[in-house]
Amino acid sequence: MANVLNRSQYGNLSCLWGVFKANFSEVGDDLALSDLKVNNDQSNNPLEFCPGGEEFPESLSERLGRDRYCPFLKSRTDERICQWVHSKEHDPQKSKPVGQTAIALDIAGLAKLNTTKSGRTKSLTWLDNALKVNKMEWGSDELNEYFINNILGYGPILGLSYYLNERDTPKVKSSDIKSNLMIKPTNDIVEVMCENGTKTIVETWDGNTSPDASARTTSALLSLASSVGLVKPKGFSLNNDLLNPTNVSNWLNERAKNGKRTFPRTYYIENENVAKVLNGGIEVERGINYKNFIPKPSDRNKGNRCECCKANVINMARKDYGNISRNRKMLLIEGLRKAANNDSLLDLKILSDRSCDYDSFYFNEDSQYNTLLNIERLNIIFYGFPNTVIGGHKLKPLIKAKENAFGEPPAFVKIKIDEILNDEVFLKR
Amino acid sequence: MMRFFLKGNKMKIFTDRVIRLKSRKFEDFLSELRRKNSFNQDILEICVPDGYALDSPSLKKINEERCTGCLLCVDFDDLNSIKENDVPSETHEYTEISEIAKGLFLGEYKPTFFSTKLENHTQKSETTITNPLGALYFWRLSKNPNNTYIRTSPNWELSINTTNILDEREGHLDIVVASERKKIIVMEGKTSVNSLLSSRLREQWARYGNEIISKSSKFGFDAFFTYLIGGEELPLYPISSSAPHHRLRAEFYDFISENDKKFISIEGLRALRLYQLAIDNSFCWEDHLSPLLNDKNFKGLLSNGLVYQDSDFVLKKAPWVDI
Repeated sequence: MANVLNRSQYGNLSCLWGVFKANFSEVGDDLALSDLKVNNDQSNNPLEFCPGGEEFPESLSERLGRDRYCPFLKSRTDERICQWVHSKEHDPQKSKPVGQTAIALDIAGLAKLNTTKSGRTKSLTWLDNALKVNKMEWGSDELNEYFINNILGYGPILGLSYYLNERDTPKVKSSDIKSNLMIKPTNDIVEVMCENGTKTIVETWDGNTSPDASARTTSALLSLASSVGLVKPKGFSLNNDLLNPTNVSNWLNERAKNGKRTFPRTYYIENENVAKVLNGGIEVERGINYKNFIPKPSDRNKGNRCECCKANVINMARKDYGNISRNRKMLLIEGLRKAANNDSLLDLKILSDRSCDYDSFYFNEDSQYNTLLNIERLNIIFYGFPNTVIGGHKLKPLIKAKENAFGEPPAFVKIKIDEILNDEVFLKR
Repeated sequence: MMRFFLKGNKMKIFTDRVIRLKSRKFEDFLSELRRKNSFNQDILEICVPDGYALDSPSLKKINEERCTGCLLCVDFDDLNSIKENDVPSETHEYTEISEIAKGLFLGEYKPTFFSTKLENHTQKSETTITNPLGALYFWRLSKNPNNTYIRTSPNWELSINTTNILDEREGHLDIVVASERKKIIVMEGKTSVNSLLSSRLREQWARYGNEIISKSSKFGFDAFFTYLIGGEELPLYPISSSAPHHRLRAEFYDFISENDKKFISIEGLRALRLYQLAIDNSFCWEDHLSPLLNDKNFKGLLSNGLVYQDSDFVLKKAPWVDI
């Protein structure tokens, strides 16, 4: 289970390497997320290990008390120090950078994230893999293989593979697919009530409302996808190097040193590799977590506040109704997982009918089927479970999923999901 | 084409006058300057961006090809001569720098004697080149550079609350330089005249100007607001001057004539720095530029003179030239 990456720089694996090497202690050790930030004494400065780090001239390093800088920051004296975690002393984005870093460490299989009930990450715990990776060398075949195996188990990369496979042109730009790589709000309208008893009707409360979020996610995913050979960034080549994680990262670093600090926008699809992912028996290991099925509420748009007390009504809708939206998504995922294991198809009409017998799985009986087919099915693809529609209402899973790959819903939800998913909903292929 | 040749060894490679604040708000910056005597400081490299041509404070380490001749790394004792044709060799003839400096700000258009490297450089990026260069020029031109406080792109812009019913965004102040806790200059940087005229958000003047002045005055500062324009200087010369025709000139002066706008060119700032180095070491913006910025008829600073609006826009000799 995982969360969504949504900043392009978190697709660059040399940064991951620097942060990991600077912070790893022992398997099983816990680390608060804020401790990932570069300390004032700089004992955990990722730039000391980062293959992209550049050396300061002596006169500047004496003044600044550090030897290397990140070529992706707008100026090399930038006190954020590392573009991934930022420094403890100077982090204008507060918890966002370390939060994204934790997601990346999770995707790479190096750490387990410890989250609160609401899905907020508090700390991470180093996993067995971390010890193994700590002994590897940057650029080695074993490290490249490790990265590929783990990144291909990350749900949104499998979702991206699905959309890359659907395209009939070899070139793909971030803007071409960003509408696919987002959490789509369902069409269910809900009513919330504030502490003073004022009621507000809320629409589009359980999905992304800002186009920025999907654009950022798409850039990060394309960058990660290039590391594992699903796409090739335009202009990529370092002496005809192979398209592998460390070579792609070295190439990005080289561009930054020459002043190109932004990440590529145009990529070429590596069709054979994409087909292998969807037909090669890959299992999703880290899909989007149940707790993160609904994005945090955005307050950027007007009209998100209660008229009388200015409470954020989207937040209220998430609190009051969020679990229904999450449960419905999980129901579809579990249905697909079981269908994949039984080599069967999922009858969405029957599933829709049966789910409407359970209050915590639907909002509106009339729209339930259409919501499952046209919105939630696509959300599930993005979370990491590619599937296709056969005969108008039957879903065919395109990959398999490990148990709990999408997190664990509360026990009573699991029981109800099992009840809904009886033999009637599965059809023989 | 000429370039400056630096004989000394004490070139500055950074300034630490960028002050670090917890908040990015303009009023918090003013309030902190009033309340505190010492600040956490950030480093802004002088040779932008990223030690572009200057990796150490040694003449031998200047990358001749890359140096744009901005004069910011040079101190008074260091600038002894100008070298012709960009080739550093002590056996060649030198032109007296003061002779060149005497030809500046005379109120008559003359083709630039500088190379085009700086204008090409400042056209490349507003946030990483034009804006920090503007801040550095004002730091160098300050009465007391050690008592000057900078906030500028690329990392240290301030914000000002200019939200209104049509626009919810806060305003970003590209360059703010405060001098001795008395005077403050705020600049809106543009890479070129073209980028100014084609900017979707070119009406920052109306949104920011009054707010900057009223907030500054509340904390006892005299504030000045101006556009800082990089790139080629030619389109900034008024039509009435003898400068060759440029297609953007008419549109630029239409734009400047609204709302009492003012502008300064990067080339003009380099010329001031040369003037300060070669002619008058005591030249400072607080004494010489701020009265102009208060003058309703003054419109702009260029390397060959000052632009005033009488019945028409005219290029005039700068007052300091007569001193």
